[in-house]
Amino acid sequence: MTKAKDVWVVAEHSADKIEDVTLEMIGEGRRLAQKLDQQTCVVLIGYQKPPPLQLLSSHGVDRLYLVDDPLLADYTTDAYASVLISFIKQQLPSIILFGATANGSALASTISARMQIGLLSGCTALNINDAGILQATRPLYEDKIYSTAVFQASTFPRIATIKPGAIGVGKAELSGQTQVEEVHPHITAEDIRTKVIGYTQADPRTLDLAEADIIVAGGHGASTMSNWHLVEELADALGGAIAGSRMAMDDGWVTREQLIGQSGKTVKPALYVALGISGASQHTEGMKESERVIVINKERGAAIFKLANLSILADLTEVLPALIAKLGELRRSATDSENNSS
Amino acid sequence: MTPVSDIYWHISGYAIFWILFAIAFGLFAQRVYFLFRLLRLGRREERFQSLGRRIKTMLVEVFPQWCNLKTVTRQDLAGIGHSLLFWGFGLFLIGYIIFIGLGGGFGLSSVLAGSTFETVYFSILDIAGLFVSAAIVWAAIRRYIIRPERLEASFEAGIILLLVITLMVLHFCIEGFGYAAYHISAPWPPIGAAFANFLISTDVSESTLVAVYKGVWWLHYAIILGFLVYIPRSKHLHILASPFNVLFKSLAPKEALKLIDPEKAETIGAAKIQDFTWKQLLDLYACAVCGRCHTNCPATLSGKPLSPREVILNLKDHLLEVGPQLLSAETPSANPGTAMIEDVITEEVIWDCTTCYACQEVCPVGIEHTVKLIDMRRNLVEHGRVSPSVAKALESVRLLGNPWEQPQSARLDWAEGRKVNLIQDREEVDVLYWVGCAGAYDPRSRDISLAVVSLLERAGVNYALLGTEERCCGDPARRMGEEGLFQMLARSNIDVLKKYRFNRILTHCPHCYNMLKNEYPQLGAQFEVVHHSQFLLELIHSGKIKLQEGQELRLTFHDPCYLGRYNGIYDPPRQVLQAISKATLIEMRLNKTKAMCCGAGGGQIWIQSEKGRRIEDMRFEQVQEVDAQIVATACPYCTIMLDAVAQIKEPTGKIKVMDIAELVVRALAQ
Amino acid sequence: MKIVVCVKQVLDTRVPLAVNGSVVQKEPSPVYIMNPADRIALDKALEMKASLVGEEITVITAGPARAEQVLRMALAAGADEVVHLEDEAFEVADAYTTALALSRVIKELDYTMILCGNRSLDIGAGQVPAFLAESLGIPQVTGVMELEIMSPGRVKLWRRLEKGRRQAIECPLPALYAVDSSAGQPRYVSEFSLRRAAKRRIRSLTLADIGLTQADVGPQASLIRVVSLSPPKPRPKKIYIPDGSLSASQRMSYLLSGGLAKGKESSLLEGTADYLAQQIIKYLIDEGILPK
Repeated sequence: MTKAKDVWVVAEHSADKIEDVTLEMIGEGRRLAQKLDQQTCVVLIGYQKPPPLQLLSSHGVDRLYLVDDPLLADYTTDAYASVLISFIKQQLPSIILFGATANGSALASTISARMQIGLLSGCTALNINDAGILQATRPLYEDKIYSTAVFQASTFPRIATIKPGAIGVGKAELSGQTQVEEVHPHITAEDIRTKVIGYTQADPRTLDLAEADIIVAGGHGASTMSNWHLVEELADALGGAIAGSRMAMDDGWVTREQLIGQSGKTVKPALYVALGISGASQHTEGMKESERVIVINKERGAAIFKLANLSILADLTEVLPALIAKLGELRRSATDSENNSS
Repeated sequence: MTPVSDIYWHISGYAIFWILFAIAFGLFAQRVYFLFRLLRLGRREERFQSLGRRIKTMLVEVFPQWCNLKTVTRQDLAGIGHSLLFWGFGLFLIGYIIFIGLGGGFGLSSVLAGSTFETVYFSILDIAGLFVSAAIVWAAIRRYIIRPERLEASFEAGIILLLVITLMVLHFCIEGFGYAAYHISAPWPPIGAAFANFLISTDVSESTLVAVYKGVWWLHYAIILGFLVYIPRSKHLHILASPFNVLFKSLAPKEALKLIDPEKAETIGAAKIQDFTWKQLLDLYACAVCGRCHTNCPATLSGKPLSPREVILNLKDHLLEVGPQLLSAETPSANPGTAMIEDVITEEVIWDCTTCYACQEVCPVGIEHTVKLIDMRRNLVEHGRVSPSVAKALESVRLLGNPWEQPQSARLDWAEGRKVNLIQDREEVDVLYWVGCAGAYDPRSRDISLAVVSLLERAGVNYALLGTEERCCGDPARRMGEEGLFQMLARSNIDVLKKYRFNRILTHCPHCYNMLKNEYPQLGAQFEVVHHSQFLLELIHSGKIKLQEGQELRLTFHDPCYLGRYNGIYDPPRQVLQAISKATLIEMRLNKTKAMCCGAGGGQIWIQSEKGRRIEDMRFEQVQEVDAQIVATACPYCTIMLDAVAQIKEPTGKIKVMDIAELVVRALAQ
Repeated sequence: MKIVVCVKQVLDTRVPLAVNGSVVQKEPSPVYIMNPADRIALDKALEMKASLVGEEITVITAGPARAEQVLRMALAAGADEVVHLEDEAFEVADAYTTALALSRVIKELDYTMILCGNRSLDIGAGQVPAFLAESLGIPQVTGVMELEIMSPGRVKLWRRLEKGRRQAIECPLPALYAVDSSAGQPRYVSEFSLRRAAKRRIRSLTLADIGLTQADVGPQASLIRVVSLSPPKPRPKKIYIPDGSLSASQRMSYLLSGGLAKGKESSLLEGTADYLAQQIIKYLIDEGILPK
């Protein structure tokens, strides 16, 4: 039997960009590949996707497989799974990483089921131990318990899905050239049992808070006529959803759907910005599990500072305009450099 | 001398009299019978126990009009007016029976006419007539000119006022024209005689006087009969219904809800009008639309859709509307076309209630508003029609034994670092301290538990806690309509309590107090329960706790609904506060039986109605109206609600919210 | 239309957990719930029944004896029939072996649609839907937020993608749809209805009834093996997402120790608006929220 080779990363991508989780997987995949003395490859499945060579090269990707077909324009489990499986059987990778996203998880599970191989899903870390065994760290019970798991059998490939945000995007400072290989799979419409009709995008401002990565919440200190627009502008600048405490809801700035707290929603975003919120337990009950909390409040003794990762004692009307302006500058210079580099 | 003895167009006056009476009485009886049949659509309920006590209550409430006099306040003297009307009209009614009935219809006027009895009685009626007229005029001015919040300037009310004053005027006319026409001159009855003298002084002919007299007499009779027909068809039905409503008032402790046996109950709670009991339906008849419930309800005052008056009136209209259809239906459980829940009473209204009992406290005729709303909640819960926040709280109670989504094993975390006595380690104790869910899990309320424990220790009380064996008393579940969950919790708690030996249960939470004392007996338990306000008073009086002398604090007290209105405990907390501070306790405008709810009760702290203002905001504004530095509370929910508002409205701490136990701790002598 | 709903009983994660060989609760008596995503799936089935689209709902669980609890809940909520595939082996079975067993039961049933939760609260591998669909040979749609019956046999579904995006997709019946836990709020089931459900019949199956042995679903038959479990640590308040260039072990030690931020503890920053805005942006860049 030919020895399995290469660590693959199945890219997560949206209309025009490669998602961060792909870069995270590339970083983790590379570490594994180096230990195994294998190559790091990215598999980009889609239709007429411009290959992001510069980006992949700077993250140390050796090879990019561009799997292209009109029937792959939208993600369907049937199409992507059958295409990937035949490609896997051709190329025999040793490890394949997927993002633990809606599509990535569906794809990986289906591959696992069709090929009857194990899948380690929702991993926060992978490593190869001293005995040469691939181990994964998986959180269980809503991140309350961590498990270390391995594959039972010795079949290849080893497949795993990686939790976005667990690894972190590495620095894009490598030099090298990613080789590109175009792959044109055999696939017909009969192979695909479902049909994609379309997509909808929720307005980030009114996005269901349970799905928002970033939440900007206003409380009593922000709920005045002249101040609330700062909350909205900051949310826009960060691409976050707008939420509020009971005071903000009573004053009419947010709806019941945007209320955070005991009588509203419980959220666990990657970033929670609390503006002018005092920190009564009725509110903090709903956001205390947030990964990162930035608090801006002008009352030194506000209870909410206890939950903050970053505490800012200031007047909203002074800090926010400055912050919003700086974020605007950053975005402009980022767009400029993107334009320049392409 | 009554015109009944005359012949009119060859028809005997008696015939006319009795035919009219038969028609009127027939219409009256038909309507009353119909209303009675509607009551029988309702479910059974035992309200005949202790009949002697019931009759006594009814006699005291109705005849001396205690039901109305007890509602009199400096701002609202209407109770006096109604009492005058009632007594006045009572005298007139007796007068009608004697002089119109016996005198007229039975032809005994010859015996009565001119008798001393008649003179005396008519004199009494003259005075009564003046009072009644004055009361009517006052009532009309109030209702149509002054227009206080609780009264509606309705057409129906206007008709009744008009009819009554007309009867008074006609009474004087009958006297005046009668005495003048038949040349009876005497100084009594005073107004009748004066009017007669006046008529004689004018040169009206005798025949005119006689004709007018007869005309006025028959008109008066007709209006009385008209009233008889109108009473059961208007809000004046309350005349007939309210004495019975008072007779059948609940003898149980306030708000002790009915225990449902799910095996026997056909429907859980009330979905259709026939699901209510006959007594609950009688309530609808007894309403006099006085509007007191409306102006005392915290939900109404804070602009929410719920108005107890509207609930009662809408249900009454609904009963009368679908009644005929139900009476002729094949099965008693037929579904009338209009849905009671949602068409007549919206779900929003059902969930707005805080069960504060203000409506029932102030209702003169003993209507039980909250019981109906909770019965409807029971039905909604059975069908899963609850909001996500209610579902979350109830699931939490079911799975974790408390509504705060905290594990049962964490019930003693509040006492971490502190040595507390656990009953599991003891043979027997004097006092079992029931901490309650708020006291165990809520960050603010934990301070109250700590304060109580330190006082118990200071006073050397032989106490112990149930620790992690304690589960929710069931008040949130029961008040939100989850009767099954309440029963499960109560049984479980009773089983646990029965394992241990103690004299009394002490609790700082009036909801737990009310449950353990008044509602657990429904499931077979009998515990002696004491609230910490009473217990602390005992400790202070017996000298087991010594307080500093001469402290001067500007204190006011917020009466918790479940301590005050539900259990009549108003004084002990005040006495405790008086022991702490030399300065006179400041009383808020709305205090004791009139105290405004903090907005948390009846599960409202989890229901969180969306419309209108927040009740706790309004209550705190009332605190701000008086010049107090501390508002004392005696309930963890009140503390939570008012403290949350204080954090926002008084962030500098100018007004503090503190439980009486915390205040006692601060006031301890060294 | 006959609907089969697969549900799982899981430990309530609101209660403190401990590791004692396996994951256990530190409670006087353990608290179990129906997996939230499965609950929503069941609610979706009940909605379809209420709107007369669905006719009969059969709820299945594969679990030890205590799993009866979730079947009682399903009955109280309105399921027509419930099936308990009972064996202690399901305490530790993985997604593959669980799905294998379930598929054997479902193969014998008459169904048009299978609903289940997208993933479970406990292990959360999220693989049972795919395994089930593949072994039954039917298409699957995961991450379902809403579904609409367009016409008999034709269903339109909305899948939850990241950042509030939804994919609208048509999938013909028979099929399996895995429902996302945020697709709705669980409908409340009253205590009285649970009591009534306690008297109703549960169809009980053993492994032998479906031609399997304990070895077939035991740990040896699983595709994945858990090597160790770490006891829960107080959730580190200051989780610092570290540099992607660090090794896995280094990153894990950061996560479990409460984060690098110990040194950069959240002390109250004060200063000019510009300075503070600068600090916020630096923090966001360090944390990877903003690009470098």
